[in-house]
Amino acid sequence: MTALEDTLDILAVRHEAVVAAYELATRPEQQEAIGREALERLGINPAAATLDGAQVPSVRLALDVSVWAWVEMQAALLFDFSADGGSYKRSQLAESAARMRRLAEERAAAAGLVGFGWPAIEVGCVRLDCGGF
Amino acid sequence: MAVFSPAEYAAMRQAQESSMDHEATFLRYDPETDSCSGQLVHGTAAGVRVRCGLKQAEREPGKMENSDGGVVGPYVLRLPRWMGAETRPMSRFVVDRAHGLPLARPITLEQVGEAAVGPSGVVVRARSV
Repeated sequence: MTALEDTLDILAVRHEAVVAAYELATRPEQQEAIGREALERLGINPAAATLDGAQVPSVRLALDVSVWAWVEMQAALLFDFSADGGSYKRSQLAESAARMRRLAEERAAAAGLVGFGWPAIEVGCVRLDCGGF
Repeated sequence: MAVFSPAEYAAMRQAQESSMDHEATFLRYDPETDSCSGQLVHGTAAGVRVRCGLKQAEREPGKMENSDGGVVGPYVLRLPRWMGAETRPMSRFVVDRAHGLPLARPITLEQVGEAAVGPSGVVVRARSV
């Protein structure tokens, strides 16, 4: 087992709905791309030996971000349309994926993972993310 | 120049077909090859099963009466694109399932006029019979 294989196991269980909706079980290259991105964001080599217990919570949070970012990209080109007696608002999927990705990023940042927070907001010369110091 | 790419047309067809939540038996009106025609033997003939989207036509009043005093319900059916070559006026659709469950009272519809074949599906006007 490798860290990547462990990550794909987490993906299959934790994001069962996404795996089913996009038939990821039959697209191993896409699953691996999502898993690799999550591990690389944490600085873990995908080919490294199996994940240890201390890494698993961080991998879960990073995987959430990677999965929703991937769904967001899949949905980006979907346009709303009305044709042939039907009306479809496919942009709802992109909005929902973007919302879930931001939520996952906030959770990862709140857990102390580096690189998931939004850039610090600066107003004039006062930084709002440093407690006024 | 194509307005949409083939992949976009395919995605539109998929969106259209994934929201067809009724199922019907299609009986093609075919008097040339079948003297009693599909519509007259609709109770016993083996027809083609097809998924479709069904809604009552938006018009006021919502129902009409024919000259015998019977009620005629106008409907609009959405069909998969491959049905474009199959539909024909006076063909019948016996809608007997909706949302995966059998209907307590199947609806028998008869196609009125030619079908409109569009990029994502086929639209057929029909009346209840």
